[in-house]
Amino acid sequence: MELVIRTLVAATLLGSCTAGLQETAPAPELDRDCFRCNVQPVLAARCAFGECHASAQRPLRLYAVGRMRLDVGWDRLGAPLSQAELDANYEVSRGFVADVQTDSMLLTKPLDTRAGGLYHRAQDLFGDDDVFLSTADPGYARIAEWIAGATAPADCTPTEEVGP
Amino acid sequence: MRLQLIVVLGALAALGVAPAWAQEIEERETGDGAVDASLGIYADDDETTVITSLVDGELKLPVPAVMDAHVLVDAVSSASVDVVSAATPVWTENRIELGANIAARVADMDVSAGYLTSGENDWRSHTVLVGLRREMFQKNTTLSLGYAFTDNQIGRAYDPNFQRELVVHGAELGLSQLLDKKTLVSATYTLQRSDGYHASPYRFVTTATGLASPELHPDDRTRHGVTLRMLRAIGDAASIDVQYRLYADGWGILSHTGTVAWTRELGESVDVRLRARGYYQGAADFYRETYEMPMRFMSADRELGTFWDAGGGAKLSWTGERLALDLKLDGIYYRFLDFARLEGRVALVTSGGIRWSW
Amino acid sequence: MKWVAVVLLLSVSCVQVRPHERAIHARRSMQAAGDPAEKKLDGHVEEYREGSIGGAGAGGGGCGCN
Repeated sequence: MELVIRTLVAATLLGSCTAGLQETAPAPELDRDCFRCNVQPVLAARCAFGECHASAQRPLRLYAVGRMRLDVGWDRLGAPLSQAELDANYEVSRGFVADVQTDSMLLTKPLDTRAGGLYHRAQDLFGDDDVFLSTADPGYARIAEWIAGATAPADCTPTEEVGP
Repeated sequence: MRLQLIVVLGALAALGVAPAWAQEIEERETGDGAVDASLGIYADDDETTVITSLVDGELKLPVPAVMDAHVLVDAVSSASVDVVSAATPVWTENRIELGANIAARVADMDVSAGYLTSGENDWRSHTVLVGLRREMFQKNTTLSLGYAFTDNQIGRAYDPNFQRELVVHGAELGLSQLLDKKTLVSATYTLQRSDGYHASPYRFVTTATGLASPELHPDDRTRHGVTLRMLRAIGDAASIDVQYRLYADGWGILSHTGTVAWTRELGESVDVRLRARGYYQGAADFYRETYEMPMRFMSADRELGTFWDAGGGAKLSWTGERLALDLKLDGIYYRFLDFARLEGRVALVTSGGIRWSW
Repeated sequence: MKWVAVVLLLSVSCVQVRPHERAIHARRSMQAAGDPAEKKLDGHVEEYREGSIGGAGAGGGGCGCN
């Protein structure tokens, strides 16, 4: 019976299989120091709130000082991010980086729809304005530069210029 | 013995918008018609409810043709694991479908043409269907052929800047054969090819390393279905209907569906039907319960995974001279074998309908 | 291939059912087409909840049933 089914399936599938169904597609290896110094501060200041992305339920789940933590007790929420938390934020962020960089959801979701972004519930929470009102926002620019391959020295200091 | 037509594939294909097949067009008189109204409710323990309302009307025209039109409305409310896991509160949506079809007798064939359109807040669809049916050998054999083209415009709720397209071509070839005075057998081959956006803009995949990505599905899909059926009379007032469907597609999904229905006429007007159905599906080649590393194609859709469902129910019908009523109750149990967030689900489907004909 | 042969054989019959012999096929319980409204509603549930197609017509419109 199994041979019959396989014969039927093989005959009917002739020429109709989609290629490359099990190919791997590693996420781009973006600069970790640039993420730590230029992107993490933006995400912490503009995205990692309890109602937003400092939540394990979100696909873009972010750890930040004073907010959601991975391996720090409730009485030490103010401690600096651990390496594991930084690595987790890096991994989850680069997963949203598409081949066409301007299409990365890390940029298109927080960008206001009036500036060409995708719908983002933050627009409802922030009174009809999304996180980045335009591509000129310093926070948007820092994320875009990182996605485009920007690097930073290993001893860089996290930026305080994260936008409005 | 007259040589019967041998066809590899067959079954009586009842197009969803061609109820005129059910009764010979030439047997109707001008002005004959009917209106059907049905209400169906699907509810499961994964916090999803779908209420479907359907109104369908048909009318025999002064020429050998029957026209019918329908409107269908789905009201969906869901707080399923998919919805909740994306940190979204309960989600509601309405879908409206409008359709019209005309079936006509042309030479020795019945031909039909139809149009469907449907809309939700994130999906617009237009479908054109055509069909042919030819009876042969003193109506012992019926050959049918159907084709449908669908253009889908896919959006994302509240998002004016997200727009994708999915184009679908479908075809069906069928043959039915009266085997003897009590038995009808049939088989159908269904082919469907879709190109475009197949994923969901609301689903995300998270790998074992913590990397998250929007769902990524292939841009094309070719699907095949073969259905075999036997309908046989039992005694002087009952029948048994057995169907089997084999399905396979280019994504690697292979499924089996079996249905058995027993119908008993109780007197002049009442029928009772008991039905059981089972379904088993193997996973798509690119589906994983957990992705160890990012892949070119990834999905969080449990309906692309390995699962089975089994269900059954009863239907009670009353048929009068002009009026017909029916009431149905089905229960379905789903078991997901590679989806950690939901191992099983129980659903109840109830429906009731009324038909007025003149 | 045995099953394909069975289907083919079932399509060939030495018996031709004459019109006056089809009374049984005209019974309510032998209506092959079934109730179109029920087929549409049932097809809806299966379309929402399963990954397969076939056996119910060439097409039935699009649905964002995701």
